[in-house]
Amino acid sequence: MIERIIIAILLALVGAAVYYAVKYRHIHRLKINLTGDRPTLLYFQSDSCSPCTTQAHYLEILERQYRDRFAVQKIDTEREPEKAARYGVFTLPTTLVIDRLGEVKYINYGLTNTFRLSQQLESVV
Amino acid sequence: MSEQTSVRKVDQSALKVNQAFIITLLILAFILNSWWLVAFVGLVMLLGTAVPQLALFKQIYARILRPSGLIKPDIVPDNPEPHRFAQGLGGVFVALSVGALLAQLTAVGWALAWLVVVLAALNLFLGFCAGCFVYYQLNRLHVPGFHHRPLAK
Repeated sequence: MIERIIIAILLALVGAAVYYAVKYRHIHRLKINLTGDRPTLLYFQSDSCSPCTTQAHYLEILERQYRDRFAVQKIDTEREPEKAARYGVFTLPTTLVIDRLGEVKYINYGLTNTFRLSQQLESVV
Repeated sequence: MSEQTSVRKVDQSALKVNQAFIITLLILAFILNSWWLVAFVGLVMLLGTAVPQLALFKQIYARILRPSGLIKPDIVPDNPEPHRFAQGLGGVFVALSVGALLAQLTAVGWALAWLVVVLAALNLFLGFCAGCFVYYQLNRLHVPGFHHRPLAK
């Protein structure tokens, strides 16, 4: 049983390490020219992406909550595939939280709820 | 077409509780080397797919966790059918895992169980539902029975 516990823990740690390594590398390779008076939330989605409807719903809640304290830029990856490629987007939805200086602070792969996005936005608004 | 115009909703919290139970119990089954616990999880998944009211983990959420305030509902516009299909698909993989374990194909059996753990974890932590993705691809291919498209935004 001890061996199985160790295997389970190792698998979980390897999975988490791969995830965070990919994320770290992604954030630090991105060069974004999006300075402004407000932080920006880049939102990559498409019509064929099923969780994107839910993500759009979460973003509407946040826009009402934060009332223009941040800007949302929606990018349809089917209409602008070159933008998706430039930002290294490989899954949908993907959201990037960018501060006023144009630095990517957070990348979220997949559906991200209002609580997590709210915590991230609080650190940049 | 009429299904697309009516308001369709899914409680994301119920889905996440379901995924958390599946992940936890399958990992526990692996640690305890317990095929019957894997079979239990598979049975719950398949029964819950066939008759949603019999989805044990979701009932625990609805009857205990939500009323007690431990977990708040997170109801969003979405189609329930792809999630039900995803659960059924996962249940089939778990059933195959049980079959492999009973046939003494231990590595295959636990690999299948861990596959379900990984896919459920992808859904729980990243919001990516592999089964839903398959459902919508089958919808795009006009396969009978897969009627629902992703909701319009």
